[in-house]
Formats: sequence, C-alpha cells, structure tokens
Amino acid sequence: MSKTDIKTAPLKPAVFHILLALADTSTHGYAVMQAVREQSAGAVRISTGSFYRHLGALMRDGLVEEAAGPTLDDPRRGLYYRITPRGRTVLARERERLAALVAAVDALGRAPRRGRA
Amino acid sequence: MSAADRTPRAFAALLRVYPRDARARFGDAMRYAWQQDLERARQTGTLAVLAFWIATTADAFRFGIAERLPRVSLRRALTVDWRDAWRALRAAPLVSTFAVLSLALGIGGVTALFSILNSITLKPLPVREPGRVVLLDGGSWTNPIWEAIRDRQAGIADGAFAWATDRLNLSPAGAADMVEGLWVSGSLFDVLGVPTAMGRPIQPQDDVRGGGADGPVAVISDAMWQRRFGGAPDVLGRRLTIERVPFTIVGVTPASFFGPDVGRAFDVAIPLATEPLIRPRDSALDERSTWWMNIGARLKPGQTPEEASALLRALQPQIRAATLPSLNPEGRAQYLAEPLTFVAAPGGRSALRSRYERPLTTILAVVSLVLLIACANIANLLIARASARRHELTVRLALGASRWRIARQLLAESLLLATAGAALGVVIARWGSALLVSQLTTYAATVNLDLALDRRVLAFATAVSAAAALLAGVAPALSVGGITPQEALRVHGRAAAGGRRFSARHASVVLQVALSLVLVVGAGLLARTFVGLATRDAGFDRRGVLLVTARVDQNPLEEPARLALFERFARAAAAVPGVSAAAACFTTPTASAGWNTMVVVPAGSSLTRRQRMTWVNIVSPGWFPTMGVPMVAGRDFDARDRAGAPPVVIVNRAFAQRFLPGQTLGSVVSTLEPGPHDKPAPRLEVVGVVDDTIYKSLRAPMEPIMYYPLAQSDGLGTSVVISARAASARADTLAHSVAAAIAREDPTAVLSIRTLEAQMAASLTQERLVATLAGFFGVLGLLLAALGLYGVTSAAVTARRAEIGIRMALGARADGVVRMVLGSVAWLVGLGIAAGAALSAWAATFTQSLLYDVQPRDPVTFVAAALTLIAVATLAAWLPARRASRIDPVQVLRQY
Repeated sequence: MSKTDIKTAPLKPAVFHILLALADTSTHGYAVMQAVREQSAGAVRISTGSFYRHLGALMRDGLVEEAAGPTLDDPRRGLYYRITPRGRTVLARERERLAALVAAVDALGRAPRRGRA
Repeated sequence: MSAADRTPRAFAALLRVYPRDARARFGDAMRYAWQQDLERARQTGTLAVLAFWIATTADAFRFGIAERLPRVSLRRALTVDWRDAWRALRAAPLVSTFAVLSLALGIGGVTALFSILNSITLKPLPVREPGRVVLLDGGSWTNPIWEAIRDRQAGIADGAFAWATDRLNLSPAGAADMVEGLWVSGSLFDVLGVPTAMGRPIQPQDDVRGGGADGPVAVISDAMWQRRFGGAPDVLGRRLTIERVPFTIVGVTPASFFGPDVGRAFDVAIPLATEPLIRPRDSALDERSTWWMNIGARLKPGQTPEEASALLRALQPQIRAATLPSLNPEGRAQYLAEPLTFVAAPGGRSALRSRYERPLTTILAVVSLVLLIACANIANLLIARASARRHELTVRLALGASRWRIARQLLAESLLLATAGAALGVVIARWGSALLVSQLTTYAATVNLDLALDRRVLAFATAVSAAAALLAGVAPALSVGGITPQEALRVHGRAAAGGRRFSARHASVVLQVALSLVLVVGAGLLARTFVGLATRDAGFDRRGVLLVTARVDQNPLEEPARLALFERFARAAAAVPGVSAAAACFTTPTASAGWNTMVVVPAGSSLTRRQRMTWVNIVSPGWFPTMGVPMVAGRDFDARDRAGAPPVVIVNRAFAQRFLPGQTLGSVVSTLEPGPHDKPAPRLEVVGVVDDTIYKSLRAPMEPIMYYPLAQSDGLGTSVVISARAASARADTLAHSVAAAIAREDPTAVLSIRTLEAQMAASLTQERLVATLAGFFGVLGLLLAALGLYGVTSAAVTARRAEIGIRMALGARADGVVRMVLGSVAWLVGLGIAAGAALSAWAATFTQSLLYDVQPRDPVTFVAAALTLIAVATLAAWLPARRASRIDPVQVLRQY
C-alpha cells in the first residue's frame, strides 16, 4: 500500500477511530481496541484480526509507532503504541474533511431540494 | 482435557494462519486480546463463546491469508470476474459437467496411484529417526545368524533387531482364526523407538529362551485392540491363546505403527524366544538352514550404512563360522564369503514395493495419459466456446479490455473447472486407492496400507490440478490473440465456407487420438498377458481341486507317526462322498511355499550352478492323478516305498531332459545340499517320470521338479497340504465335509482351505489388477478422444452449414456429404494414429517386464488397437456427418 493512499483517501472508519483513540494517550493494543469499540458505540466492529492488520498498515505508513510502556505492566498485553506527528496531520486532515462534509450536508438541509445531480 | 487446556493450543493454531513476521510482532498481544474477548464472552454465555470462536477463526483466515497475499497491485492484476466465469460454465451445464467429471477421474486416478506409491515407497516408517534404520541386505536369515549379530551389536551399530512375519491362529480349538503375527526380538521396539500406547513393549527380558519373568507375553496392535477387544481399557493382563499356547497381553502399540513391513499390518507381536512353545518339535531357533527372519539395526548418530557394513564385515568371519549350516565344500565356501551388507531402509521392508512398484508406476503413466487427453478435450471445449463468444470478445476488445484481461477470463474458466475436478478427484482418489488396495488382498495376505492424505499427496494433487488447468486453459487463452477489435465493427455475418486451416483444435484432436492409441495398445498388451497367464496350460487340471493345509503343531506325534497321520488325512478326505481322489503333499503349484536343491552332476558337466537347481515336492501315492498330472513313464509311488526301503524319486520331464538324458528310469540321482535336518543326501532311484508342471509361478517356464515319496521323507515338518479332487467340477462345496473328515483324524489340527483355482487366481492378482486398470483407463481415454473428435466435427459442420447447403442445392447427394465430412477429419485421425503408433512403439519397451508371452511391439495388438480407434473415430465423426447430410438447402439459402 503506498503512503499516499492513507493520506489522501478518506480514512476507513476503523483506521480513523484507531488514530482517534491514540490521539490523547499511548497505550497497548487491547486498550486501543476497547477504546475504538466505546468511541463508536459499537458502530465500528473491530476484531483482533482486523485491528492488528490495520495497526500493521498504520505503522508501515508511519502514522503510528511503538512507544515505551510502563515497566510494571502486564507483558502479555504487548507493546504500547502512540500516534506520530505524521499521524496527527492525517487525523487533522480527516477531521477537516469530515467537518467540511458535515457543513456541506447541513447547507444542503437548509437549501431547497434540486434533485440529484 | 478441559476447555481451558485447549484454549492456548487453539490460539496457537489460529496464529499459525498468519505469516511469520506478523506472528512475531503481534502474536502475544493478539493472544492477550483473544483471551480478554473470550473471558467477556464466557461471562455472557455459551452462545457468545461459540460466536467468539466462529468469528475469531473466520477472522484468522480472512486476515491471516490477506496478510500473506502480495500487495495490492499484483492482486489487482490477477483479479478476474469469477462470477462471469461461473456464468459461462453454467451456460453449458452438460459440457461443464462432462469436463469436470473427466478431470476428476484423471486427477483422482493419478492421485490414488500416487498415494499408494507414496505409502509403499516414499513414506518413512513411523519410528524414531527412520533415516538411521538399516536392514541386512539379501532376504531372510537364520536365527543363529541373528543371535550371532545380536551378541556383537555393540561393535556395529546403535542396537540391532530382528523380526519375522507369520500367520498365527488365535482359536483355542476348532477352525483356525488366523491373524497377522510378528515374531520380534526383545530389542525391536526399543531400537526402532516405537512406544506403546498402553502398557509396555516387548523387552529383551521377554525374549529369553525358556521364557521371561512374565511368561509368554504379547503386544497387540491398535487395530487388533479395537477389533477384538472393542478398545477395552483393561486389555492389559488378559490372556490371548496363540497357536493353543496362552500368552499375556502386556501392551498395545499406537495406531500409527503397523509393523516393520510396509503393507502388512501386524495384529499380534510375540518374542522370538517363544517360538519353541508354539512349535515344540519343530523349532527353527537352532536351525542353521531355516531362513525366516529379517535383521535390522539403528545406525549410530552420524554413521553411514557403509561404515556399519564395514564394522559388520570385520565381524563376519566370526558370525559366519558360528552359524555354518552343514553344506558341501562348495556351498560352505560360498556361505563364508558372501558379504554381509547393511542398506538404508527408512521406509522399512516391503514385499509390495518390489512387486508392485513397477506395475503401479505403469498405471500411473496410463492415468496420466488419460488426464492429458481430458485436458486436451477441455481445451477443445473452451476453444469452441471462445469462438462461439468471438463476437462478445471482440466487442470487449473494442471497448478497451486488454487481451491479457480476456485471456485471464478464459483461464479463470479452466481454473474453475480444474478446481471442481480436483475437489471431486480427491474424493475419487480416497475411494479409488482404498478399492485398489482391497483388490491386492488375497486369501493368503491382507494388504494394509496407510493411505491417509498426507502433505505430499495433497501437494501432488494440487500440482496436478494446476498443471491441468494450465494445459486446458492456455490454448483457448492464446486463441484470443487471433481476435481483432475491428471485427466487432463489422456486421456479424456468416461466412459461406468454414476455414480448414490447421488450428489448435485440430492439434488437440491429433493429440487425443495419438494418446488414446497408446492407451489402447498398452491395455491390449496387458490384457493379452493376463489372458495368456490365466489360461496357460500349467501341466495339471486346476478345476475341481480343493486344497486343505493342515498344521499339527499341537499334536505330540513324532516324525514317522506324523507321516502316517498325514496319510490318514488323505485317506479320510478321499472317503468323503463327492471326492474322487485325495493325496497329501508338501506344496502345491503357485503356493508361496517352495523348496529347491542342487542336483549332483557328473564331473565336467556344462550345467551352470543355476541350471543344477531343481524344485522339490513331497507327495503321497495318488497325488499325480488327483492333480491331473499325467505319468509319462514308470510308476507312481505305492506301498513299497516305505521308510527303510530303497529311497526312490519321481522326476518331471524337464528334470529328465536336463539331468538324465537317455536312460531315465532306474537312474540314480543325488543332491548336493542335505535335507532339512542336515543329514547327508541319499542316492535316489528314479522310478517314474511325470509331465511338466509349473511350480511357484505361472510366469516361470517349466522347470525341473523332483518328487519324494511322503513315507520316505523326513522334511515335511508339522504341516501338510491335502489335495482332494471333486467328482464334479465344484470343489468349494466339499470344503466343509473334507475339513470335518480331517478334523476327525486330529481335532488339534489347524486347517486353512481354498480351491486350487482360487490359489492360482490369487497368484495372478497383480496381472489381473494391472490389466483391469489399463483396460478401464484405455476405454475412458478412447471415450474422451471420441468426444473430442465428435466436438471438432460438429463444429466444422456448423461452420460449413452454408457451404454444405449450397452444395446440396447444386445437387450434392447425402452420402457424398457424409463422405466429405468424414474425409475432412480422416486426416486428423490418420495423423493421430501414426503419431500414436510411434509413441507406443517407444513406450511399450517400458512395459516389457510386465508382459508374458507377448512382444512389446506385438503387431497384432498394434493393428487391432489402430482398427479399434478407426472404428470409434468413424462413429464419432459419422454422427455429425449424418446431421450435415440432413441440412435443408432451402432453409440455408433463405437465410442469405
């Protein structure tokens, strides 16, 4: 997957939520999964398999990286992850894109209907 | 095992679906996440747990395999519209079904044969480090030799072992209840590294003459445990009566271990040292010329078979000297000099291997030919469909599809066909290989092979299917090259005359005809071999003879009295109503038992060592008329030939011609080797000459045979064969009454019964099987080729419909049209037959060793095969040709 893919295209909901979950804190994989499930109120169905596949892609594209975790933590949980500056940029851009979309939809709601383009 | 114990293993298995790097990176974390999710699910309920497992497994396959796939660009390049391919195949269900079936038969047949070959030649024994197992080369050995090697094994290798196979009777009384027995040295289980699933293996302390501390012990196989004891957990310590001697079961081997002989699964293993218990008067343990066991060893780590052989060679003089049988000087020198050699045997020993490897390889080649024909046929069908879809394809091209894209689409169809064929083929293979193996089993030996689809077989089936998909798909895909997008712009008109250019379709028909000729020639040669052998004049009348082998190991009678008992058996059998004659003998034609010896010839004789050999049989008076062997000269044995009377023999014609040309009757012969009890051979007077008969094999030429009278013989041991001739042609109906009559003479006798015809038929199992398979696949190949030809002719007729209509409108007659159409395919058939004949002439030489009394390039077979093919081809082409002759010219012309 080329790096431009993930930057320019609309992010997949799961990817967006993973970045969102890591925006405030660095934590381990399972906690991220749980956060995604809670943030989206179950709308984004993420499984262990798909989560780690997305995580692998995000790391390959340099949006997420490994982070040092607290030493006394349960080692079985695996590594801690945090968002990179590049990841923040992508997240911010996606936020803008979604905001623009919401604005456009709102404007549509106020304007008289014209039918489909 | 509780659910909690299984969970980590299930997780480990799921993780294995992921590629290694992903596993290394996220494995622990994923395990943790799964564990957390699972615990949550457990709190919710059983259904949630079930849902978790289903979702997680599906997930692992979805993402694990996705991770393994190459990145997007390549994936996109290989994307094809499977639905489109599926639709195309569904559009012609008959053709597709036929294609799938023929591929399935081909792939199934090839895979079935491969899995048999795999289990008899490639699979290692299920023992510890099979690569370090070696066997003493050169057939069977005596127990003194084994004991000599056993006592010196420390200096040779990392342990030695010995075993012998036997059929053992488990019935405490009455009719025999035979199972496959294994005599083992105390070291066998330990040296091979075979653990027991239950209890303990046979150990060196059990293999002690006079009995071990636990008395006679036996280890049974898993199959035996299930079959006889219903898998009872308390089987250890139970009694098992083996040959009327009580043994204690001390262990059960794992299901994977079938014994050291591939193809011959053992039921019961007992120590070698218990042999004297079973054969108290006939023990082979100290016999220096009873060759009955196999000897093997485990190499030391890093040791090669050559190094072990060198160590053995250094000890050879001691071993040989300590075990010298009583031989004449010539034989003794040879015995001492013959080198002892270890050969690597990771797959164990197999009589099947040497016997069936070549026939099975031949059949594998035959089935491969059928598969090739099937592929050519499918290629043909796909080309036909591609040309029918020519317009659609040109439109696609014109709309911007790449040629590669379209070719891919056509390849996808053949891949879909091949996948369906392979799936069905694996089912056929499982069923077919089991069927084949069951055909190898005769009354005398149960063939038992581990035919589980292992990785090697599945890889083979996959490779064959992929190759078939490519073979079938490449030609149609290439035909896309000939399409131009401009065609689409033209009106889809009809050409007045079809092209006669040599195309891929024509090539495939030539190929099919050629290959099926090879098949038919092969089938013909093998069928002639089988018929030749089955109907060969064996020198005796095989119909209506019942054979009963009686073993009297438990009867305390000693030799002279025992011989009298055998004669009483014969008389009792003869007295049964419906029996016209009966007699006793040592062996019968095509039985597995055989005995040969060397005849003393005058000094200066030009006969080679091999030519001085004669077969030996021991018969009671009346045996020759019972078997239907004519006396040529002299007399049969009679009451005069008792023990103590001058020793006499009867010889067959081949013996007389080789050793006693001129005066035969009254001549005196002697043998070089001693009798079984190492006594010097007496001088024997020839009192009769009988006609030649075969001895061990129907394939062998008539060889010299010498017959000793039963009453003067001391080499019969405790077993005898009673031959009874039925007054009518049906001998099997007498089985019960003859057996009962013999049992009345000695209730301890163990009897096994078959007819002479069944015994001879069993000796031709291999030939029958090979001929049947070659015939079946020959017919299949012929059918496929006929269908291919039919397809091509039909297509040609359709393409030339207008031309034919015009011709008929201009006055061509129906028979002329038929001739024209037939003529247009005749050259394809001719070309195919020529190519096939050349190919057969080359390939037939490989079947030489399978043939009997037929030359590999037998002209009769070749001509008959070519005629068969021409007849089938004519029929296949005639059907569409007749359709062509019924074209209505008016209708055709109206369309223009």
